Amino acid sequence: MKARYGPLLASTLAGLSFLLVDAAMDHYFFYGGSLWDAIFFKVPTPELAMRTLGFLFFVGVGALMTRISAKQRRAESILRESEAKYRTLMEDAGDGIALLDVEGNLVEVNKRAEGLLGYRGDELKKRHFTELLPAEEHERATASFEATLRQGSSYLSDVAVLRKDGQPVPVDVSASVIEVLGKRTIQAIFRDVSERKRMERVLADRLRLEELRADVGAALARGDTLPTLLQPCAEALVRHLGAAFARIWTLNEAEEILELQASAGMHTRLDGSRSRVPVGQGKIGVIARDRRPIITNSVIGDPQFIDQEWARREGLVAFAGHPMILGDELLGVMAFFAREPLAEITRKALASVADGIAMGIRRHRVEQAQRRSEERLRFLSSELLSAQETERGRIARELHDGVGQSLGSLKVRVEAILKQASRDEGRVNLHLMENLIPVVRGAMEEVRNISMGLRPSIIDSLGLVATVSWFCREFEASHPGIGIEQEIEVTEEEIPERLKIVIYRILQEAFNNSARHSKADRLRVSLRREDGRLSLLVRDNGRGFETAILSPPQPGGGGFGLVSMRERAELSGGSFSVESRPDTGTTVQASWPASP
Amino acid sequence: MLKVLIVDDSAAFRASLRDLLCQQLSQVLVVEAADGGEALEQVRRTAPDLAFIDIELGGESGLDLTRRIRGRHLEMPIAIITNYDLPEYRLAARDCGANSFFSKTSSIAEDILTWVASASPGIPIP
Repeated sequence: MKARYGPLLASTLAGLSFLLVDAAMDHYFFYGGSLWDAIFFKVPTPELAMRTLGFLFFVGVGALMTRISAKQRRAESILRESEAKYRTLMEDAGDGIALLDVEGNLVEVNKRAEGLLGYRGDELKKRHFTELLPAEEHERATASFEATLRQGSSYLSDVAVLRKDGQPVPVDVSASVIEVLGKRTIQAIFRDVSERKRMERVLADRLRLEELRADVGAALARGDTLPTLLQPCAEALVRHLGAAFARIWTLNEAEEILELQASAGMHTRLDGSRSRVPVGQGKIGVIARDRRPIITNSVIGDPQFIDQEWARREGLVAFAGHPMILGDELLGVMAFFAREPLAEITRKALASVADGIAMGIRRHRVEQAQRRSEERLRFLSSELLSAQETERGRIARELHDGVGQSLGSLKVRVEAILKQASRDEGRVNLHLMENLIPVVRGAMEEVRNISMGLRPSIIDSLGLVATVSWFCREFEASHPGIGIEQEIEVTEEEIPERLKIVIYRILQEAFNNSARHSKADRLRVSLRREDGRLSLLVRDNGRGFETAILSPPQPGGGGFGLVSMRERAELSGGSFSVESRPDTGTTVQASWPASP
Repeated sequence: MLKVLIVDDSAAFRASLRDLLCQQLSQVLVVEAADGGEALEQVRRTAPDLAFIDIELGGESGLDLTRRIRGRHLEMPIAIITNYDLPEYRLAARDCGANSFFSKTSSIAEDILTWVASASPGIPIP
């Protein structure tokens, strides 16, 4: 209240002092009476009127000023109030707010912005906004700033700003031009989007893994050879997990060798130095041997990685090698090199992809085995049919050409004897009759041979031991160039009844094969009990062959004899093997669990 | 009267052998059996003086039959007679206690008649 009337009071005082000073001057210069007289009584009327007018003028000016000041004050108060409101708004805002001048220098920032950037407010003032951005963001941010000045507002999404500690924070910035105290000021509101970005990354990672799984799944379902199965898997690892290169080996169990089946990324050759890795050798071999993954983000400097120069040159920093295991079966090894450290999610993905691929390989193997077995079955049944036909042809021929002819000859001879007897009054020519005997005997021999060839009755009446001895003798007789050595070290009672014909057939087939193909002049047959098994061994000293060509049997090609031996052995619960190399002869072995 | 048992699953062969024996020898009585069971029954009932036994009898082999007859401590002469003249059969025949071995293919009637005579002294051979 006091302050409000200040100007009026001051003007009144000024009017009074003007009046007093004027009167005093009159007193000194013109009247010489008392000061009081000079003020009111000894002053000519016009003078007094002038003085009064002057006083009133001062009072009037004071009153006017008081009024103006009151108005101004009210305006200021409104401004202050609005400023206070803005400040509250700014300070309480959930987003960072910075005010910049048209040059781009920071004028003010709110608490939120300080917190976000890790600065105290006064540390930021006067700084140019580009000082808060990494170099690669300068161009984009500057363009956006200029657009704001030009258009009044702009929006910049996902720009990195640097915290005081140098860490980049992703923000979205919305800028607009406002008037502050008559100055064009840029208000930049920015929001920390790290959380959103993190969620986006998580989603993107998930998507990537989904795509990876889908690609791997599709490859495993589509491929029909190991390379066509595994190559797309390696490519998917490169595509979705950002590998520098990815490779997959499968285990060749027989040779204890890992065979490279797929390679994608910077190396795609399958026939290089790593195409065959012995188990236990190098880090891939070690992964297979120990059945444990090796994962590292520091390839360079790790002595396990022998070719450090190569790793450094290619900028490879991370490696993940996984054994592919199902149950306790090792199927192969998957290796992954990357130029970036492996994130947790990538490691997990690799482990699960390794499991998936392992299943794919197993499935492929099962299918292959099934296909092979079907082919074999088809081959066997077709061979069986043709063998049956051949056998029928042979028997028909033997009956017709042998027994049939003998009987025909017999008939003619008997008719001749009868004819002569009727001429000679019933006297039979004994000489002619005697001549019939060898013909009958010949026919009997032929029948016996056919019958023994089909199934030797000796095996039923005397058993296997006698049959083997008979067969060897017959075989030597019909193959004069071949000597046979027999080592029969089991008694008849030790041989299960159901195996006798099986063993005989395998022996017969092995002998016939040897005679047909091997050019051997010695054959050894042994039948004995060893390691709880009844074991048949037929070995020749012939020219042998590559065992590799035996499996799988070639439809149309030879080898049915071997296949049929194997079938007989396996169908009767035994196992079968053939070992042969050119120039070292052939060994056929079949064995069965010996019955107690 | 000489009682001869013929064991063979072929009726035709039994008849041939019976005819041979009956025509060539006097006072012969032939009894027949087609398998091991019938043979043992005939042995029990007629107590033959000697026997011809084929090896292939369908079920039990003639060798086993011979062994069983010998197992009953019957000492009658037994001749194995078979289609297959194999050393293994000859050996097996001897091992199971047969006294003689004839092949249907290679032995001749003369041999058979001689064996019957030698196995049963007192039977005149014409």
